Amino acid sequence: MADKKDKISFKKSVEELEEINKWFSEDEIDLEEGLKKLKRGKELILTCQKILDEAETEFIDIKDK
Amino acid sequence: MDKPQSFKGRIVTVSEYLELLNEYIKPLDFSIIGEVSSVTDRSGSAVFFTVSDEEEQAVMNCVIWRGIYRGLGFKLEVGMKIKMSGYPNIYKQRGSLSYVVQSIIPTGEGVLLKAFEELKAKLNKEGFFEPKRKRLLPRYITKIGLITAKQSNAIKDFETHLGNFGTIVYVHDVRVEGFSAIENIVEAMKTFNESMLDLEVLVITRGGGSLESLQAFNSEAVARAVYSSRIPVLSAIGHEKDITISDLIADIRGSTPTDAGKILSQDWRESEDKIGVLRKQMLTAYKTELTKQRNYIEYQIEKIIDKFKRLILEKRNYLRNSSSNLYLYFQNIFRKFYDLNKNLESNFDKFSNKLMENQHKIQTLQKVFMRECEYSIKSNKARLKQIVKLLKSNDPNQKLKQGYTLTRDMKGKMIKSVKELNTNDILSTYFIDGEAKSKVTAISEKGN
Repeated sequence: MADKKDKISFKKSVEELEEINKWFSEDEIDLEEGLKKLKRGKELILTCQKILDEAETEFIDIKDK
Repeated sequence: MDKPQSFKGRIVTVSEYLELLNEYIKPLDFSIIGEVSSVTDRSGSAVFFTVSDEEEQAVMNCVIWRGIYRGLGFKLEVGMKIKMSGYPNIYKQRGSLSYVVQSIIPTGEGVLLKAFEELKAKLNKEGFFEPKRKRLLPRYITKIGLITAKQSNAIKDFETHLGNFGTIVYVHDVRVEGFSAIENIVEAMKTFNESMLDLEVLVITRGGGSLESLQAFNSEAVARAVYSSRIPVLSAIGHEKDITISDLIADIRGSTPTDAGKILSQDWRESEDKIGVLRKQMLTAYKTELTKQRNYIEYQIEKIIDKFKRLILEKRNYLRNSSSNLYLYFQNIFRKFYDLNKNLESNFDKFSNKLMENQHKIQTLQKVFMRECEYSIKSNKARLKQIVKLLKSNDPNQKLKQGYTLTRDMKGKMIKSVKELNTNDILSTYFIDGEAKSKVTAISEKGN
């Protein structure tokens, strides 16, 4: 089950990934910096995939009619 | 129904009797169908109307509290066919029997449509459907309040399409049609809104059905509950084609329970793809840049190589030209040497010939010269003899020997004439055997 912390880290990770991707879509990119960002991107992808893999939906009844 | 117990002989007041009656008849809470035959809607706390059977000419007095009436979402009109729930009650002050209505569902499609349009117009006036008041759902939903019938296909469809993304779904079981539906739904909305569950969205959903079965979601009570919800609401009622008032007011409309599940898991599902896409884009961008820079470097290297090649070619050409010039130059020099050598040889020959010639000449001349010399020596020898002879004859000593003398003045000058003499001059007179000094005492010249 994804707790709030997971959700935040997931959201942040995706946002950071989007940022990195935006950076990569610039016309001129620095290769050294690119390599760093690529590594960071891979870390973020792993984090997200872990959260997604471990996530399970839970149904809780709060009231029966 | 069991036969009621007999109270024969027992005496009670009217009021007591009516209270007893009410107690007995209240459990007879059948739902009744009929047609509205009259409506008395004054501004009191209740609305009175009569419902009758079309065929049997039977009439029932009915009363509905204004609060409930307002939540119905439609107005009672004469001729309207309805299904109502409630219980019987005798109003003591008048002694008349009324059916106390708890809920009404119009049963004619036309009437329902009319009611729908009326409520829609009314709520529209109040700004219930304003797009600007619609809230956006947060991304990556994790906590949902679900209002639906627990035993339904709707919840299964919703669950299936919500997928497994770590969402917590709090389920508030409600009736989605029938008399309790409105009350259940309103209560569920209230419960969730007052809860501390930190919900991100409320989902109201049910499967498709007739307009009548969807009536709760077209009721004013549910409409107002959706409108005033603190938590954003996703309403997904019925089939694709069904649109309820609840759908129109909700922040987000889902066409079906399936659609609601899809909407709420969309971010998560997309993120799965998105992560893949982002990864691919990132790698592609990096590779592209790498190739670009590699090409640039290769281009630069090629340029440099080209330049070098050109330079080498230029130098080679220059060298070729230079060597050709040098060759010509040396050839020229060699030719000159050759010519010079040739000239020298020829000159040497000439010179040598000349030399031989001259040598011969010299030898000849030498011979002539020798002969001439011999001759000359001989002749000069003879001449010398004569000269010697002559000299001997002219030698003063010879003259002195013969008795002649030689006179010099004091300065040594030879005196050859008397004219050179003065009286008293001292003279040296040389003899063969000596010298004598004398003084001139007199001078006499010849002829005088």
